[in-house]
Amino acid sequence: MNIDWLIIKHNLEGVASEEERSLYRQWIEADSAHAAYARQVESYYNRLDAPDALSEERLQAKLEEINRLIRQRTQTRRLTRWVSVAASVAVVAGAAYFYAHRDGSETVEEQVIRPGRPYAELQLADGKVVILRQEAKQVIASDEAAEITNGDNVLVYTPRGEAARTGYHVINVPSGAEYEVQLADGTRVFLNSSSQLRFPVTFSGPEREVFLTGEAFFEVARDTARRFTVRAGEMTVVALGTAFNVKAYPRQTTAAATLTEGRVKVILPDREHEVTPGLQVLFDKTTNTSGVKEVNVALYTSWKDGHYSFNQMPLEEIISTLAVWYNLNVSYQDPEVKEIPFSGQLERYGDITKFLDKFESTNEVQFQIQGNNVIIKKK
Amino acid sequence: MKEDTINVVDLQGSKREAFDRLYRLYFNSLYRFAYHFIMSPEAEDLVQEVFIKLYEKRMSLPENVSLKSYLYAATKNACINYLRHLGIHDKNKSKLVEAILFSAGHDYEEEEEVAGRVEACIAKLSTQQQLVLRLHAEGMSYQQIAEKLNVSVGTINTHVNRAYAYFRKFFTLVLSFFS
Repeated sequence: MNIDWLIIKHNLEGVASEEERSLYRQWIEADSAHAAYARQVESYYNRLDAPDALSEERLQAKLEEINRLIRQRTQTRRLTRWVSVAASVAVVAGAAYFYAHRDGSETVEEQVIRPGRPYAELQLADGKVVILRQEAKQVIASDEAAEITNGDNVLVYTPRGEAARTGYHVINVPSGAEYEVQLADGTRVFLNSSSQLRFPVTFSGPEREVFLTGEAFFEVARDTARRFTVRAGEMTVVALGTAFNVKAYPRQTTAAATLTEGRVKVILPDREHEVTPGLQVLFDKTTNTSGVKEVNVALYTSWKDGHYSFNQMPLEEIISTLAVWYNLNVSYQDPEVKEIPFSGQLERYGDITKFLDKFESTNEVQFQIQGNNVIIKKK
Repeated sequence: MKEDTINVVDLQGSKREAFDRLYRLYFNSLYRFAYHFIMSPEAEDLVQEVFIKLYEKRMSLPENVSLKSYLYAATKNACINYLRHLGIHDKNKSKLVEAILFSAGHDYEEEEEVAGRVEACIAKLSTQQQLVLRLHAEGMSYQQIAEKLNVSVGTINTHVNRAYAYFRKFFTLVLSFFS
């Protein structure tokens, strides 16, 4: 439900026409966030001497906060440099690292395996399937309950008025692809490769609930009246207004929820966890137990910004992630290489052969590529 | 407003000092601009994010970019996105003009047409009202302006409120003229 600013303004100034009043009412009723915002603007209008500057103390505190956030966020980016400094130590420790000194193409196969791309399939309530691509600007559906549009790599649900529709849509993101959906309540969901999200066209009732298979990053629209629940296999994450990553691929033995903002509750078969930013809940499916640990959040959420970061992560885990994005079939000729830890950062849409080249340049492993099949050997 | 002496090259240096100076020079102006644009205290977070993004991007900025223009453009875009999230569109840029007027954001110099609309509004004010708004835009508090002009804070408040009230009334006229 969209509205032009002038219509809001005219309503607040009491000069709105009959039509403008009706449009304004519809917009307010479409979403509790709209109503909250209208109250906000009203109080702004009634207060002429707006508090529109921060005090000296507040400015100083804010600057410190900004610098702290910058440090936090650049931590991962610094990783690569830090890694090359630590390389000599690492060799002693028996670990393998990337070296930045080798560039230029050589060895490895010429075949370029297609990197991740924006692509998804949307299954409508009636079972019809619509292909979503980045370039195609399209209106998927439009009726009295909602308008659904696609373009710029984002699928957007805009509810209209109160005519709620109870049907569910399912977005399927195949391996090697990714997509973003903006749900009817304004929540943004970044879906990673090989993932599926089932969600209602409009949210009605006292709770917002969606179903995830695979991995997604959620930026939940604030709505204190209706909590937001993600059901992902054994894991259930309950949030108010917050941002978090859920990774729950059926074929992987662990599921993880990582919080970047706000507060969430994670419900698992063995127990419940209340989590604050910087913490990760990890569930081990083989033992059916869960735990909470402090993590560098960026390592788990950077995928949505186009990087993949890992720190002292076993090769097998790294490769299993890359396999999902690049649609690879991986086999190990020498299973002992699975445990070799690597640190570094990759560009998500980079050429896979260059990635593998970097692993090879550590003289620990060797890759043999044929089509989408990759065989990993000891060097 | 003081001369914009901080450039992209300063910002790309290893010391955080240029960034801190830039922050002190513009945070409040941008906050005021964003506050009147989205009419919500969330403007504070929004401008904070603009500064963080600037820092993260500083290495890839062209050297001749004016940081002031960059900051205003980024803040404006953040405000537009914030409103779009609420389904609010600002077809004829009325919100932008309003934000510039009410924030006394004379720094905003992106679009000529918008600047013209703002100038037209300001020209209608009394000299004293114009002076108070300019000083406020330079970052002085009402208290400081009152001391400088040797009048009471109450008087300043009255000036500003009258100016704003006038803007509001006049604004509708300007708008109907331009749209």
